[in-house]
This record gives sequence, C-alpha cells and structure tokens, in this order.
Amino acid sequence: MGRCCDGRNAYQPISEIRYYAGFILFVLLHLNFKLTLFLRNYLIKRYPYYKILKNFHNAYFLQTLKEIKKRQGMCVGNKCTPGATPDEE
Amino acid sequence: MVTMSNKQVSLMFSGGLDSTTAALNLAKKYAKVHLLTYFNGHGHLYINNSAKRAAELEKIDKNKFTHSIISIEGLFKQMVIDKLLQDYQEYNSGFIWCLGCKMCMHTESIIYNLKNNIEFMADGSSADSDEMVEQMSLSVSLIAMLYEEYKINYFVPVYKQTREEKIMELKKLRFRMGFQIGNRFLGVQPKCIPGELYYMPYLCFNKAMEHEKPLVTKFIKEKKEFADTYIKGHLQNG
Repeated sequence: MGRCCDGRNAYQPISEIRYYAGFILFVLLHLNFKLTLFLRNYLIKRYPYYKILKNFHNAYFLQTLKEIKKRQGMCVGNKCTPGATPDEE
Repeated sequence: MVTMSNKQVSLMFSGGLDSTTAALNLAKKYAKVHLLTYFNGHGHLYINNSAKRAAELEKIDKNKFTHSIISIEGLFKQMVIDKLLQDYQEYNSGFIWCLGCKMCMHTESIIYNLKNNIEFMADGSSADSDEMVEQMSLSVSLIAMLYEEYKINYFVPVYKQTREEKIMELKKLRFRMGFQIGNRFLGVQPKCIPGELYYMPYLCFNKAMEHEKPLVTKFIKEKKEFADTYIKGHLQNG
C-alpha cells in the first residue's frame, strides 16, 4: 500500500497534450460556473448565498489554478514536479 | 424483535452503478429497502434520474422498494454554507463542500431511520472510488460511529465489489447503462456540478486529491457535533 487518500490514478503519468487540453477544459468550466452563479444572482434577485459562494469559488479556483500551473501533484510526460511524488507508507 | 420478514433497511441512493448494485444486494436480505435520494439546492441537477432507476428496481422486485427524494437545503445552509469561508481558511481544500454535503445526508438519514424505526442504514460507497473524500475507508468508519450513537447499524454492502463486477451484474439484469465514456456511465444518475468541478483535476490530470487523514477526521468530528445538536432538536420539535 503506497498511497492513501490521493486516489488510485494519482501520479499516473499524462501526456503534455492531455495536460493542455485539461487545462483549457478546467478554465472554461470554472468560468462557466462563475457566469452561472452571476446570472442566478442577477435573475433571482437577492440570491442570499451569492457573496459567500462567489468568494468561496474564487478562492478555490485561484488556488487550484495555481497548483495546476505549477503541475503540483501530477506527472506530466513522466516528469513529476517536486512534491508530487507520494510518500511511501 | 426484528425478523427476516420485517427487517428494513435504508439506502442512500443516486441510481448510479454503486447504489443500484447495493439496492439489489440488500433486496435479497431485507423485507423492505428504503431508497433515499437527497439534493442540497446548489448544483444538484437531474434528480429525477434516480426516480427512473428506482422504477427499474421496482420492476424487478415489486413492493420491495420505496423511493423518497428529500431536500437537505436548509440543513446544508446551516452546516456548510454558513461556515464555508471560515472552513476553507481552516482546511484549505474544497473537500469541505463534498464531505459537508455527505454529512448533511447522513444526518437526514438518521432522522429518517429514527422516525420510521429502521435499524439498518447502508450506502453505495466503494473502494474503487476512494479518491472521493466521503468514500475513503477512514470517512466510512467515522460515519459509522455517528450512526452507532443512535443505535443504527451502518454498513457499506458493495465496498469491496469491483466496478467490473457491478457493471456485469447490472448489464445482466438489463438495466439502462446510459452513455459510456471510458468506464463511466453518464445520464443515469443526478449530477453534482460543484462535485464535478472539485474532482476535475483528478480526472483531467491524475492530480493527487491530497485528502489528509487528520484534516478529514477533524472535519467529520466537528460536523458530527453539529449533526447531533440538529438531530436532537429536530426530534424534540417533532
């Protein structure tokens, strides 16, 4: 048992093409979510949780985007970034 | 006294591969299986897909299943949204959304079981999906402790069954399998948009989920306290 809590596919190498395709998909879906949240607030007046959800999503999106840009926790083209290799138990 | 003829069980049910297999499994051992589907009002879509799946189950075994769709919106607001930013600062991970939602579902399940005198509770958690924070073996054992206090026996009937075995079982019984991408089946169960976004880096990049055990334990224990208060208040007020 080498890994815990990361998922069985964690650290499996992916190609550069998959990385860039995934990156575009990730950004597009999050922007879509952001827009949906905005429209929901705009259309349903006084959507009470808008501010909380917006702030949470912004914080989560930016943090994850930073990690993905650094390729943290993944192996792209057999190159694992520092800290991406799991600790052996 | 509980006998085979009146033994009842509740099952958290989405209508996906795991919970459908679990329902079939439970139907062999229990007189009645209560299928419980929850939605939190924040990005849970196509909830009726689970009703379609429940109807398929009823065709196989009439009078064995009852299906309920239950809103946890109010509880989710209190347990998760009201503390969302604070929790995010503390745990620094999006798992607070998914695990918080699951804790709400378990809280409502306890209330459902107590109201209906049901001693057994199950869900479709699977070792194959243990990248999901709520399906880690640690989470499953901590959640079982939550039920123990209310004398409800919580278990995970298909935890060790492989995905391939489940697919074979459902195909054999001619269940709708939906649209297949890889070994995922789309369109047969409700969708959770925040959940999809949270697990996207794992699916797209094989990025480690980094669900640290101490943090998960702390989070569940913290929410358990809230759940206990909520359940007691709810039962007192009828």
